[in-house]
Amino acid sequence: MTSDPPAGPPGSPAEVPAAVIERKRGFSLVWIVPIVAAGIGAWLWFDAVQSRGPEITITFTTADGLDAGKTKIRFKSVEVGSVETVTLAPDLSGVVVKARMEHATEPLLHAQSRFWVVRPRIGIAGVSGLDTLLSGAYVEVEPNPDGAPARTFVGLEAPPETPADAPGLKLRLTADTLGSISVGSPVDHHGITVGKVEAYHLVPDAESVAIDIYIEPEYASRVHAGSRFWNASGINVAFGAQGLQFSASSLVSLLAGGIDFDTPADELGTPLARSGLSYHLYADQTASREVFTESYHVVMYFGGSVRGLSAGAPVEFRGIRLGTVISFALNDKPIDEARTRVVVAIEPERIGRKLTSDESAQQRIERLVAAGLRARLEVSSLLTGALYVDIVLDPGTQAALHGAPGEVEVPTVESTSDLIASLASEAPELMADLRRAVGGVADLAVSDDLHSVLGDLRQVTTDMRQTLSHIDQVFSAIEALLVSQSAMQVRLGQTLDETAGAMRSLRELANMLDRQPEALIKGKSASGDH
Amino acid sequence: MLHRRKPDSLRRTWALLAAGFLLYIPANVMPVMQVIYAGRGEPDTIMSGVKVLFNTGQPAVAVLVLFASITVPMIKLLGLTWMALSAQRGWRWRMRDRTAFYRLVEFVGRWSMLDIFMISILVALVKLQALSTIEAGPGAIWFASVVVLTMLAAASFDPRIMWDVEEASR
Repeated sequence: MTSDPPAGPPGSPAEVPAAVIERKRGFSLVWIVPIVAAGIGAWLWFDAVQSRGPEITITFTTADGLDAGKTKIRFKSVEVGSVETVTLAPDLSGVVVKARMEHATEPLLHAQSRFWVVRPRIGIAGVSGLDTLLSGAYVEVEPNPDGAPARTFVGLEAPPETPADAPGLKLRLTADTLGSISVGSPVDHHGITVGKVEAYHLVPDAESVAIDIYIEPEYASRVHAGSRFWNASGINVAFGAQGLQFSASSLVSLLAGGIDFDTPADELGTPLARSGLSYHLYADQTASREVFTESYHVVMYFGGSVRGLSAGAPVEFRGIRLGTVISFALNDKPIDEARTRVVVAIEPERIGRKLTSDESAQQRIERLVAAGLRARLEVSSLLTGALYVDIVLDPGTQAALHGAPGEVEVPTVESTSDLIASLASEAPELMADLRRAVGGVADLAVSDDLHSVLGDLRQVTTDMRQTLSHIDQVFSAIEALLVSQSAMQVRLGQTLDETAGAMRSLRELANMLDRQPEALIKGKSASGDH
Repeated sequence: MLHRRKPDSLRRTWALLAAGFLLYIPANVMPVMQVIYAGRGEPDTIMSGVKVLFNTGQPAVAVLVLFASITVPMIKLLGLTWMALSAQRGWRWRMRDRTAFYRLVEFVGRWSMLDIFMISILVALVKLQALSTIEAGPGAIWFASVVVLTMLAAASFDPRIMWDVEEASR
């Protein structure tokens, strides 16, 4: 570069000093600008690289709501990554989501960590993910420190109801059927919702359903090892041997299904429940109350009809419940000699007894059977015709056993209803007898013998009237005699006194004979009043 | 002090151009604006914003933004580089057209600030809290820096240097 050459006015060239031509050398300050720019660029690049975390792969069944480059991965509502690509799985079974996690998110990424897409969900038990209605879906991650670090995950279809590290109780219930229980159904205790149903699934290789429930931490101390859970869904109407039973729980339970639990007073001493415990879910509250740790099965073979008998029917002894009918079916004999095999569970705790250890259930039953223990079916309700098993002591009957040798069996006797039935079958015969008897009476009424007897009776009456008038005359004569002769009167007075004594004795005799006619033959009874 | 040409013209131009190139990268990679509409919004870079505009049925606006925000700064950077290079090397090819191009670059440069104006106006205007909010992204700063740097580079470039070669050869 050159500075400008001297260009002064032409009139005074000498006054113009010679221009100093400068040449700038060295470092120009203007280069600071690109250096600063480079510094900024380097810093931004370094920051970007630094904040890049691991790339992870999550498999979902659907990419509903997932946008490549936009959907975020969040943990406790903090952004920890974002979805970069969403592609179909090679076998088209789902979608593969590749996501870039942020710096230092490795603790979130373990094999047990769970990922799910948060979308708005509306159920009877509540609404969740409402914020995503406007903000769009996002992927939530729930870390689980167990397991090895991982970069590939399988996403959950539905969000877990509660975080894995939630401080409450996580319990598992097993039930025969799910009923109307659904995810999010409330778990109540004395009418207060203390938890909810998290998930349910069929138990592999078992005919039952496993239901995972969560109990809020503040209510965890309410659950004991001996607590009983029952299905409190809907309205429960039972019409059985016990009559009509009706129970309904809360409105939410009515709509969404529900589980209730309680701890029986004698189980309050059991240790507090801890997460992972398994419980049985009873069908209703009644079933949950009738839980007996000790019960032994006894079979009975009934010959008559068991119409009206049902599983769950009571087994009673003198009206006190001893147990429950478990099942009944025809045994495998030919149909003409088949009997109904009824299995009942005897629950000694119902009557506050425990089995003594020195005697097995079988021995006890055998001893009682020898003493006359029998079972019979009785109608408990004429309205429903429901039957129950009545245990009776009837030593007079023959103990007929029909079971296999190993079975603990109680012999049966014919039920009252069977007796009535057998009587009814004999009724025509009875009627014939009765008719014959009545006919005999009628024949007697129209016979001549009766007429002659009645004639004789009339004659006897006439004779008696004559006799009485004779006696009257005799007494009149005696009276006249008494008046006329005083000496004789005195004697007669004595005689009369004696006669009166005799008459009194006679009356006493008559009284005694009236009470004890057999005294004439057997003599006076020792215990008699006389 | 008088100068025959703009002092230190080429060196300044080079320095400012280099800075402009460097900042052009974050200006395009980082989000310039975040439109949060009804709680839903993603940060947009210039290019993704153009895409969104195009996809939402506003191709004209998309082309305008693409031209003002991508093409113009790029043309400025590359054009100035080319001119500075040609001036330094003393190329004689189409000097008149190159001068005309320089004038164009200098003139059009200010329009690149369109984006920044738009963002600043929108950020100030659209403050409807939860309903809709627009926030400026960090890329806006770098983009503005690029525009300012290219303007400065264009201003520090002296087109007469291109012609000096003619004078020297005479």
